[in-house]
Amino acid sequence: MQNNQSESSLSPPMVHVVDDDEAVLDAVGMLLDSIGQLNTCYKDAQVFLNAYNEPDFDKHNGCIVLDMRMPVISGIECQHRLEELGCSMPIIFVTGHGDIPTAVEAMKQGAVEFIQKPYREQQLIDAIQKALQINLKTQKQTKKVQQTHSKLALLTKRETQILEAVVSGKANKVIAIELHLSQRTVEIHRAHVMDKMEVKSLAELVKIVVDASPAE
Amino acid sequence: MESQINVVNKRLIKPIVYIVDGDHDLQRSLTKLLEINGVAVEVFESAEDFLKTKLRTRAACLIVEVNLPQMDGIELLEHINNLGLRLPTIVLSSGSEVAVAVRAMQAKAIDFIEKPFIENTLIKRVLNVIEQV
Repeated sequence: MQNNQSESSLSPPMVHVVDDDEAVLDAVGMLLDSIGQLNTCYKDAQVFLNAYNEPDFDKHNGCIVLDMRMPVISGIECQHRLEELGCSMPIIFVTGHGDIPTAVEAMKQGAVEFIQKPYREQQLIDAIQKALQINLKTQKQTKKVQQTHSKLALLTKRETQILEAVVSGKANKVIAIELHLSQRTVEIHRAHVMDKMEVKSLAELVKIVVDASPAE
Repeated sequence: MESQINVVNKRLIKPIVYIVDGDHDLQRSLTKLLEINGVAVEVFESAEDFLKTKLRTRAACLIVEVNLPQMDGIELLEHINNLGLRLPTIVLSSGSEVAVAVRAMQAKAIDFIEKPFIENTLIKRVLNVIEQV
């Protein structure tokens, strides 16, 4: 139940299709329309990147279908640029001239799928659904991390100190000695931390703090 | 004294590279090249053989051919992933299609190399992986 609620709170995802072949672009657009999938088509990578840099562009909700061979900016180049821009949307590559080294390179860069033309429509739909699922998961994680950060911001300086000590596994007694406080005071601060972070157990507290700290 | 013991230990604790490939020439030449570089090698003919062995803690890298008698190399990799093990894997293949390479990369292979390849390139890649472990 909870899952459904949080899913519905997100707006419907957008599929961005980038291909220099107008016939392909039309066909993919129509295919996606036919299954009720929101989509936007771009006639080359530059047009897409321009749109991406617009302030009202939703940079997180959806996925990208990229043609590999395009004039001026290739699919791979576009992938690199998107990565530099911190794009979190998964990328599906579509190409008429796929070779193994290109495919391997694209996958190493984090593409979720690499489809060769001609492909069955279902193949593309499956890939898009998979990409959107991955995207949804990423978005949920990001949201959780943001929530944790906003809760952390509410802590006082002292509470932050206590939190750090607790998370690193120190007992109240030890914290009390180190911070020159009475054990009772530490207990009270600790209870406030648990309240403000909205957690019920130490294990939960450690988990959300670790999840929110930058990756190793 | 202590530092001497450490040196000895270091020499004893060689990282292990597992090779799963039915090609005996390749087994022999890769084994030789890796051993020169201070790496222990264990060789298997099939995915089933490999799964029978107990992985050791010094397991550093797996080199696996896609085309194996029964379970194929990518299925083996997927199987290892499902067991929750993380063993950096390089997939080798001859005459494969792009779709196979994509499957291998989706199964979290760190690289996919087409045969024939320059052995030194592979060895360098493997040593690189071992350093990172």
